[in-house]
Formats: sequence, C-alpha cells, structure tokens
Amino acid sequence: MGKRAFLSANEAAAYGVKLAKPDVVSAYPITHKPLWWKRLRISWQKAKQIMNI
Amino acid sequence: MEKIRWHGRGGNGAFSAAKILGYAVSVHGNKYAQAFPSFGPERRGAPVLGFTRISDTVINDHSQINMCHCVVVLDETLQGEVDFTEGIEDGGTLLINTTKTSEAIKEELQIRDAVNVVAVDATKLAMEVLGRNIVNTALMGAAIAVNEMCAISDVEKALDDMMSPKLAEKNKRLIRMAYEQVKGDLA
Amino acid sequence: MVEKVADFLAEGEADYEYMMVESEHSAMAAALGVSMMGARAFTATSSQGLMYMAEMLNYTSGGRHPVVMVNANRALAIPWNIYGDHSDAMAMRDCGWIMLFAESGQEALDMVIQAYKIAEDKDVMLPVMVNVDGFTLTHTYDVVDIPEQELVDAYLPSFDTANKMCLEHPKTLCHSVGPDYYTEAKIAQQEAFEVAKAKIVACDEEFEAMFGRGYGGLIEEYCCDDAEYALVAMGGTVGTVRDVVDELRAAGEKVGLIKIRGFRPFPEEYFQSVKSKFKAMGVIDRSLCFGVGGTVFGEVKSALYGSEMGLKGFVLGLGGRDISVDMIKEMFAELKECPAGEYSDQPIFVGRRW
Repeated sequence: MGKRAFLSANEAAAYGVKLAKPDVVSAYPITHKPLWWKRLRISWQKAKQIMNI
Repeated sequence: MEKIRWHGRGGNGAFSAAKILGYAVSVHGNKYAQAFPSFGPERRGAPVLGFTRISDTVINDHSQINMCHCVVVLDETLQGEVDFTEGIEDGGTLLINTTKTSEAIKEELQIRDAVNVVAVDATKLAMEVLGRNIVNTALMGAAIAVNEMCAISDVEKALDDMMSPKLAEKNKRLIRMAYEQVKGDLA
Repeated sequence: MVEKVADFLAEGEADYEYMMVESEHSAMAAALGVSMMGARAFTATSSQGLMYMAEMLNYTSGGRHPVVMVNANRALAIPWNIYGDHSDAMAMRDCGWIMLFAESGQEALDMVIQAYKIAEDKDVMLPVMVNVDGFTLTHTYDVVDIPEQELVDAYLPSFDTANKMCLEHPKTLCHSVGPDYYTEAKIAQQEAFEVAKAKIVACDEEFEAMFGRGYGGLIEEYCCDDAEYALVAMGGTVGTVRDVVDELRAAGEKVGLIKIRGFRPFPEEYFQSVKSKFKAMGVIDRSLCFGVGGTVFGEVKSALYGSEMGLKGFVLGLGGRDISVDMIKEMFAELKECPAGEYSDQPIFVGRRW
C-alpha cells in the first residue's frame, strides 16, 4: 500500500516522474519565479555531500 | 457532499484554508476531498476564492461549484467588491470574520432567513495567538464548529504535518479557541 | 509541475540531472539528445510551449526515441487564455507521439509510470505525451495514493535500447533521406502505433495487477452494457460525466459514458465494435478543428463508418469555460431527441453565450 496524500495533478504527476527515475529532466521554467535559488540549493546540497557536512 | 467556498484576498490564505481542510479530512479523516482556487491571475490584495468538496465516496466531479452549504469570508472588506451572499443553499451558513454581530451582518447584507449567519472575530483571536492577522486557521476551527465535517484532531494532525512545531502549536491552539468559541455561541 | 520535480531534487529525494533551458524547443531538443544517448528523459509543457517545440516533437517521434512528456492541456492564443481545453494536444495529434489523457491526479501519476513502460518497449519505441487538463486537474487538489518506489522498480525496468549513440556499435541517428526511404520509415512508425494498442492495454493490466488500480487501457466503458445513449469524453470531464450518469441512472435513464484514455493510437476497433450498440452517441470536444468541427467527433465519426446510430458533436469547455452537470444533462437530453442515422454536420456549441 502506498502513501495517502492530497495533491494537485501537477504534484501527482511530479511524483510519477520521481518514481520513474528519469536520468535527465529538461525544463523551460514558465513562471517568473527566480529558479536560480533552487539551483543554488541543489549546488549547496551537493557541496555538503562532497565536504561531508 | 459538503461544499465550502472561502472568500479572501490574494496572499491571505483563503485557498490554504480550502487545501488544509481537504488535506485533513482525506489524509487523516479517511474521507475524500477536493480543493481548488478560483482560476484567475494571482496578485496580492485581489479577491480570491477557494473551494473545498468533502465526501464519503470518491469525488469525480471536476466542474465549478455554484451552490455551497457553507461560505467563509476571511476579509469582510470584500463586501461591495464581491457578492459573497450568492450561491448559498437554504439551510446553509455564511461564516464571516467580523467584529459585528451575526444579526447586524444579516441585516446589513440582507441575508435571507433560510441562511444562517455566524460572526466570529477571527482577527482578534489570530492577533492574540499568532500576533499576526492570518485568520484562515481560526476560521477553519469556526467552520468545523458550524458543520462538523471533520474532527478537530484531523486538522491538528494536518497542521503538524505542514508546519514547523512552534507554528503548528500556535495554530492548533488557535483552531481550538475558535472552535470552542463558535460552539459556545451556537449553543 | 517541473518546479515540483526540481523540489524533489533540491530536497535530496531524487537524483536526476535537471537541465534548465531557454525555451520549450530546447527542452525537447535536450530530451531528445538525452534519449539518443540511451538515457531516460522527461520534460513537461503546456499550450504555447507545446507549439514552440512542435518540430522537435516530430524529431523525437520520427527518430523513435521514447521520451515521456506531461502536457498540461491549455487553450491556444489568440485570444491569450491560460485556462484549460484540449486545443494544444489536438494541434499536435499528427506528430507521431502516443497520446494518453488522464481523468484525475491519481491517473496522471500512474500514467507517467506506465508511459515509460509503453514507450521503451522494444516493439513500440515511440514517445508518449501524458495529457492532464489545465487547472481543473493540474491546480485541483485531490486524494492520491503515492506508490512505493520498490513496487515501481519491479514494474518498470531500466531503459535499455540499441537506438542510441554507441562507440561499439556506431550508427546514424536523426538522418536525412530521400524519397526512396522516407515512406518506409513512416510505415514503420504507423506499424509501431498498431503494436502500441495492445501494449497500452497490457501495461495497464499489469499495472492493475501490481498496484490495484486499472484504467481500461485505451477505452473505459461506464454503464454502457444496456445504455441507449452514450457520451464520449476525455480528461477531467470524464469524472463529471460519471456523476451525471449515476444520477440519471438512478432516475431510470439508460445512459452511459465512454472514456477515451488512449487518443493516439485511436481506438478504432472499439468504436467499430459498438457501431450498432446505442440509439445515439454524443462526443464532447474541448477543441475545434476549424472548418471541420469538434476534433474528437471527427475521429469517432470516422471510426464508426457504416453505423446507423444518431451522432452528435458537442463543443464546449473551450478556454477554461466550465463543463457543468447541467450541460451534461442537456447533452444527454439532446441525444434522446436524435433520430437514427442523423449526425450533426455542424458543431453544437453548448453553453454558448452569444
């Protein structure tokens, strides 16, 4: 049995993608949110892994 | 099927309320729920609608909600900009965040007799507990007091899931306070 | 929805490469490039974005690269409209992608997983577009069961193909040909679509056996066994029609719903099998084939060749206009008035304001 959640179809589809484990996701960000901060977070997560902190 | 409409202004949590309630009754309450915003350009201060459907069976309907049993108004200054008196079923309730009395609101807005008006000063409660004028959780407590569409404990669990412990504690207290107060008023 | 996909990455719950590119055309080009290296690619788009990547859709399908894409169905400009309808997907129905339409968020989640299994099947090797209604599904919260990773891993094998750039077995991809080769390449694609019909059904049945949820493959019939009147629908609208069928059935009316889940390949065999079954059939279209009529109506009518049923083509829900319970009841009522053998030669615009 899976996990019961309350999601939009966008979020549900995103979970489908996560579970399908693609190698690469390519995207053109259509909203005007600055995605640079997400990039920064991703880089920081990786940096923490490398530095072992 | 329970249908609830939430009236607020962009950025003030009307849709969050619709969503948190839906989350609470479905993930913790073992019912089925659906929540969606009115689909329009989002900007701070603009009128916003949220909708929640609650049912014991799977919800298939993807159409707009035109008639509700319960309408919740987070911001009474919307009066004049938005007609929150329309689309309420006979026997339904208009729950409004205000310092005025239910009777005063009923008269001012010319609400027909078949619709109940419940006034609650959610702003006062929110300022007391949160120190901020964010009234959506208080109004959720009030709505549950009116409709009993789920257990308060379900919403408390939802808040624990969604918020930091400190914030969740405050909001749980706030919901209980609003719930008790409205339950007392209705008795 | 790609922002949620990025969130998973940022939170350490996934470890795909995330390429932010400067346009949807590039997003598909990037996905194609990834697939050409034998890796599993994903992208998502909507409306104008789908139009912008149009040529790359054909590149990907013609090259037989099994990319999966979620398309949030939204109206096309002009007028500029951000709300849901099926115009975007329908504009691309000849691009050689398998096109499936989800009825709910749950189905969208499950469909993405199934899509990879269908796409990457060695006898299919076609990209798959998972269509999800804009706003009425994409921005509507609903109860969803998130399957466990282990179960998905057991269902979906890793991507393995010979159709890729490989130093040990060099080959040409995305090649140019003349009139002497092009036709047979297209025939091969068409044959793959025929194979895909059975694979879509098989993948769905296997999914149902493992996860406990099935969707009927290409078609789901609801209350059609003894139905006199049936409405055909796709996407989120199917759910609303279900409720209306329940309500009308409780009042003794013999009505049914036909859900088209697989639009490409088109379930012609199903429609041929029901061509004498009902008194009248109506099709709900959320897009217009200008100069012809409702898009899906045209295809259903064609698939019903030889039928003597009454046929009505309804067009509604354009640009995000609500498809209400009352409108659906109105359509069933119109079907009851439809004489045998009559089909609507003009689209019937339900809910037309002027």
